[in-house]
This record gives sequence, C-alpha cells and structure tokens, in this order.
Amino acid sequence: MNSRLAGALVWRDFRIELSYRVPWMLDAIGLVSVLAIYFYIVRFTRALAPGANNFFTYIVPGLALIRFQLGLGRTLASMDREQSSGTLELLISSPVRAWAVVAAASLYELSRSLVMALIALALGRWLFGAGLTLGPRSWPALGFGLVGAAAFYLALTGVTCAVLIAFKQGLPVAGVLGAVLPVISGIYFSPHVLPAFLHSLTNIFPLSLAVQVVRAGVVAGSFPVGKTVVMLATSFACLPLSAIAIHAAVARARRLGTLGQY
Amino acid sequence: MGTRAGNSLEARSGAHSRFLGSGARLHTILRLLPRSAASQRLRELRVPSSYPAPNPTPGLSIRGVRKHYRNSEVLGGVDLEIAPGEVVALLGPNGAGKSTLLRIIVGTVAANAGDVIIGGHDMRRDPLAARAAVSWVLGDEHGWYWRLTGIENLTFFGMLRGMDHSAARARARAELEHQDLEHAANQRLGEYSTGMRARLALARANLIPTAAMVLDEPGRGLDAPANERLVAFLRSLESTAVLVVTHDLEMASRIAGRSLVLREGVVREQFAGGTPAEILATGLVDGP
Repeated sequence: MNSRLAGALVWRDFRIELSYRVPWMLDAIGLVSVLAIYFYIVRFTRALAPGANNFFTYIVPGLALIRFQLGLGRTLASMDREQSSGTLELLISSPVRAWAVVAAASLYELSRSLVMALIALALGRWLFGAGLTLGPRSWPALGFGLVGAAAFYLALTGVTCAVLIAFKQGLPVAGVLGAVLPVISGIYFSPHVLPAFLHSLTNIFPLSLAVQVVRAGVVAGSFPVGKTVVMLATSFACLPLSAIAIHAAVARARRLGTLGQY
Repeated sequence: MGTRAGNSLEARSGAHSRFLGSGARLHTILRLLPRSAASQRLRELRVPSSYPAPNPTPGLSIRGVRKHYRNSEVLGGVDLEIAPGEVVALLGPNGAGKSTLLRIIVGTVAANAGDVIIGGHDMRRDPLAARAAVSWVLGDEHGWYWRLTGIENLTFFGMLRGMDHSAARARARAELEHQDLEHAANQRLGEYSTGMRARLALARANLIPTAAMVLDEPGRGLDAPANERLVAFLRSLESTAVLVVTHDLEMASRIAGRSLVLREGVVREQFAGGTPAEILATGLVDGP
C-alpha cells in the first residue's frame, strides 16, 4: 500500500464523515454511556459485596480496546455500501492491489478507534475515577498494545471484507466476531476463567495478549516484554494471511463475475 | 455513419473482420432482400476480411476471449482490435454479453480464455499496468459517493489513479469545466440530475489519459446539447482506443467509425459506419 492510496481513502472517508457532521460526537456520547454503565454496575455490585476488587479499573482497558471492534464494524458496513453502490467495483478496477485498497479503506476507522481508545482511558481515569496509571511508566505497554491491537484488527477487517466480497456475508460475520471476540480476548473478564481447552488459544490470541499488555501498563504500570513480543509477532503474522484472503476473494469474484453484485 | 474517419477508417479496421466468422446470417438476410437498396448498401459496408492489420500495437486488443458461468456461455471467443483514436460501437440485444466484455476489459471479470491487451499491457500477466491503461464509464447510476460533491468525487478518483491531492483537484476542476459542470462542482451528487451524472462520468474517465476507454451507454439521460458534447468529446480522444456499448443506433452511427454486433456471445457482424436503418436491416440488432 502506498501513501498516496492511503491518503486518498483516508481523505475520502474524512470528507464523507464530515458531510454527516456528528459521528464523532455521537461516538463520544456512546463512549461515555458505556463507561457510565460499567461504572454504575460496579457501584451496584460493590454495594452487594463490599470489599470486592475494583472491577471498573479492570474493565476500562478492555472497553478502550473494544473500540477497534466498532471500527471493524464500520469499515465493513462501509465496504458493504461500496459493494451495493458500485464503487467497490471501481476501486478494484483501479491500478492498485485489492488488499491495499481494503487496508487503506480501514485506516480511517482504525485511526478513529485509536483516538477513541485513548479517550476512553482518559475518561475512565479522570471522569469516572478508575485507578489507572496513565503516566510515562504505562506508555510502552500502552503504545505497543494499541499498535498490536490495530494490526490485529487491520488483518481481521481484511478477512471479513474478503468474506463480504466472496460470499456477500460480511456483516453477519462481523456480528459473530462482535459476540465471540470479547469472550476469548479478556475484554470483560480474565481468559483464565474460560474452559482449559481454550487457554492454549487465548495464550497466543493477539487481541487477548493486547488486552493483557495494555492492562499491565495502565493498571500496574508494568511492561510485559515477553507477552508484547508474542502479541506483535502474532498480530503482524495475521496481515499476510489477510492479504491472501482478500486476493483469493477478489479472484473468486472476478471468476464468477460477482464483484459488482451484492 | 462513421463521419469521424470516413473511408480510411473502413480500411483501417478491415483486418479485424477475420475474427468475425462467416457473416452467414447477413448473407441469408441479403438473399431474402435481393437487389434492395439496403442489401446493396450492406454489401458496401461489410468489412472485408483480406485487409492487412493496420496497427501492430493497437490501443485495445481482444483475442479469443471466452467467458462462461457454470453451464452458460456468455462469450464464445471474441476478437477485436481498436486502434488509438478509433471509436468502435458495440451493439447487440440484451444478454448478448456486452457488459461482460466491458468488465473483462476493465479487469473486474476474469475471462476463462483469451487475451486482453491494453496499450501493450496484458491483463493476465500485468494486470495493474493494464488496468492503469483503461478508463471506464459506467452505464448506470452506480459508482458515486453520494455524500461527496462533484469535485470531491473526481478528486478522489484522480488520487486513486496516483495523483496527489492538489493535482487531482486541479484536473477535476478542468474536467468539470470541460463538461460544463463547473457551476455544480460543489454540489453533492444527490443534487445532480441523471444527465449531469452522465457528464460527470465522462469527466472521471478523462481524468488521466489512457490507451483505451470503454463506455457503457454514455448517452443515457443526456439532453441534445449534452449529446453533442459527448460526440465532440469522443471525437477529441485522438490517442485513445474507444469502445462504446450502446443501444442507440443513431448515436452509434454518429460517433463510431465501426460498429460491431455482438449476439449470443459472438461478434456476428461489423460495419464501417452504417446508418441506423442499414444496421437494423441486418436483423442482428433490435430496434429502439
């Protein structure tokens, strides 16, 4: 993917977003609402079980990273619209590789997710009083964790777009991912409570590791180097697989003549 | 009638008739219409098969292209060569395979067999270069970002073709002016009429010079002045091989030096020019 292609698609998405005027504001309102829900759930359960650990502090990093899931859903919805409006066919007929188009089309939402994740941490810390450490000690883990999560979601967006292009069923797949990923990634609870046979998966699952790395940084102020290395390796290893999936999907659609169908 | 290149175009395109099969159906029609003025004229218009190839590196070259979906054959071996500066009209009834052929040329549908070479670039071996060498005018309302303005749409597609933002915007503005759309540059696509969108599609196709341009019903929705502008626009593409899919025989006879009739996936006949009545007389094309 070259910078000009990335710039073109980010510029396009920004202009389209600007035409709606309020999505960022709605996103921010939604974010505050989600934090408020968990804040009051924790306050309520504390009343039921005094002395319990601060679950709110535990969950805020997960709620921050789940913003990438929303970004994936938006990119996929946008790709779905592109398919039905015929612009996807035009994009694919342009002299750039299909995986580069999909990756560039994901960048705007990834950037927004990144910003919203940081805002979620800041709001959790300063508006809702979560016991987070957002000083310099947390920065290495936070930075690498966000990069790893972004790389993983970039790959995952590519795979779901491939499903959309090949089978016209991207949105149902995104729905399934939206339900499954939080369970195995430790967004809401530690993966250790899951059945033992899932542990081998969660130990190398990029999103689980990203959540653990970010949580270690902003809750404990530590930087788990080993986990970070494994997370980055597995996240970035997914990228070529995603490119292969997109290439195969577009080749199939070209063969069947379904690129312009939805 | 092919006013653009006249008789020389008939000669130039002559070599391509070797791809066209026997033309047996035309002969049948001619036998049924003995001595009529139309049949005499058709004899004159039919491109003979013995002319030498006019251009060794044509803008657009299609050789033996076949396409089938499951058990249905859409294209049964299409051959076509279009020289730079030549405008060819592709006629034929619905379901003849015209749109599929167009999509194979622009690279969004893969042929099962055959070669598509655009500006010397083989779509199979060098797809990126081949796709860069062809521009495309879609034949319907699709293919636009409705939340963006006209100039934003053109700027984006210019950037997609490798221009930086300022160059793309400047080119977009020039093309809008060329299509007499500068007054609507900052209107969203939703505020464009069908005819304005058709002109915007021409502007998009012309953002970057390409070896070939394919157009699917470019005259749809155009009023008379816009139709004249379309004709002038197509005639101005001096170094581009142009293939126009249309059901409008009047349009075909005005813009194209050569008309091909595609039917059941095969080019059944080609004419150097020909009036709508003469083309209709072949029985290979349905009337409007």
